[in-house]
Amino acid sequence: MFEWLSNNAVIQDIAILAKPAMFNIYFALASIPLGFPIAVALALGKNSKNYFVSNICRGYIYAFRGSPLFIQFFMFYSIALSMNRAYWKPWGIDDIVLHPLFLGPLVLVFNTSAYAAEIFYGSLRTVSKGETEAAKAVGMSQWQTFRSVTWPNMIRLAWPAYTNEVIFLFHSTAIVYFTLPVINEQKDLMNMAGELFERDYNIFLHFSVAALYFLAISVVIFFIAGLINSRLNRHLHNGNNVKIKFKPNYIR
Amino acid sequence: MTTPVLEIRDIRKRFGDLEVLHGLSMTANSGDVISLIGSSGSGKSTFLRCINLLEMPEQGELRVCGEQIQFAVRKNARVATDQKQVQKLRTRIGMVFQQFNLWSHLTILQNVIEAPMRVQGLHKTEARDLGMNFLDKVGIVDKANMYPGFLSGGQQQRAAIARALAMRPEAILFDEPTSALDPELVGEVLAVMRQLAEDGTTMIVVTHEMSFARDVSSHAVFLHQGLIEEQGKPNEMFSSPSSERLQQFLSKES
Repeated sequence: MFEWLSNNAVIQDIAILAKPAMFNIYFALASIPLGFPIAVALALGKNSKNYFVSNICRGYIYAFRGSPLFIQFFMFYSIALSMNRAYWKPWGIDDIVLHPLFLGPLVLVFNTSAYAAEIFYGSLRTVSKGETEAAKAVGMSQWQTFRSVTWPNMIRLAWPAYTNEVIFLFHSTAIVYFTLPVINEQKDLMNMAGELFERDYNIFLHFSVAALYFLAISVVIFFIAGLINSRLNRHLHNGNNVKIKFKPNYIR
Repeated sequence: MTTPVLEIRDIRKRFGDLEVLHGLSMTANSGDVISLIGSSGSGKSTFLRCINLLEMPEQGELRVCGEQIQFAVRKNARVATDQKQVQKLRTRIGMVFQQFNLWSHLTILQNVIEAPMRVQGLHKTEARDLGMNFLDKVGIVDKANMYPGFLSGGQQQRAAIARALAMRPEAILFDEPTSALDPELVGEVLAVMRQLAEDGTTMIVVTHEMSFARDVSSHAVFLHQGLIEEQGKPNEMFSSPSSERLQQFLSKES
């Protein structure tokens, strides 16, 4: 009865690409939670009055924002390889350090933290000066002012742009394996779609299905980010909980 | 004699090459209501901001409840030696801003209890009672759970006054509290301030509301170009100003 289903080329591709999709999700999930706090630290560092701290952060952000992610993967992989004989191997950690499941997220963390840092830096600068002054005027310390006033506003202002960065990072996971070697059949969407392409040269079908996975996971990210966004902006809706409605605009 | 709440001696402040305060002194005793008047650019607001060190005066002494604030010079700039002391000063001397400066992401009640909880370590239930108390005092208890963006300017300013009161300060500085309000909303804020004055709150008020300065304050100070031009009992000052500049100023304002 469901034979036509299992014979359908798209359905077959979806089934085959399910496991590879997990690797893309892994790369994103492993790098975003780490990239976030580093980005916040970098943004605060760049905003610091300390000349050295500020310039180190500026330099870091410039380097990773100013060069292609693709080249960063190559550079980090070759640096990691060249240090293998001297360090990783003698220390017995070469299997970990050179593993794409470690190196991939590492480079992504470096990259996303630089981009997100610039987003947070921008929002940090737009936090109302009157509100931080009011915090100082009631006797709050620098840390309390940050905690109570600067931080919530900074995150709220940065959120839409940061969502964009998360989406972009997730899509960037597509190029991880263009540089790093595949180990133990740990293929991601791009590897697997490429392999399917080599079987029948149907480039449109296989990569479209891979794109479907990216689209589907992006929807989930949009949804979660939207929930957080409405929570962050609840003061604009006067305490009424914003209800999430699924109301797509088919025709615009 | 009891120690004055505030003793300010010879405050000088410059912005770049421009000296805006040329040595101002003032003493505020408990229960005093001092009105600072003067045309724009006379340095009233800057002077007020120097009192709680939102602006750092280049010279001058500051004594709060008898406690001398310590200064030092670092890298050619004057700084407070002890940041803890500055924070303590600010909890003792509240401030109300022209633009209210309520924290927009917090409800009115949260605005009021945030500092008592974080700075003074009050427990939440305790702070809540205290906060509702002060909101009641300024007449906006019913707005406790709303966000500032949904209140009128007058209500926001009253919330800001409640926020300053909640720290139970020795004195409150008002920086043109009614200047950003629509004319019909000025009255409600002035009524609250009038009530505070009657309750014996020590207040220093920068204002353009001449009737408030005349009727409510115990002392009026007229600033002109960074100097005290004239001061004294408001009634005498307003009815028979001795300096020409105050005469001019008063004729323009009324």
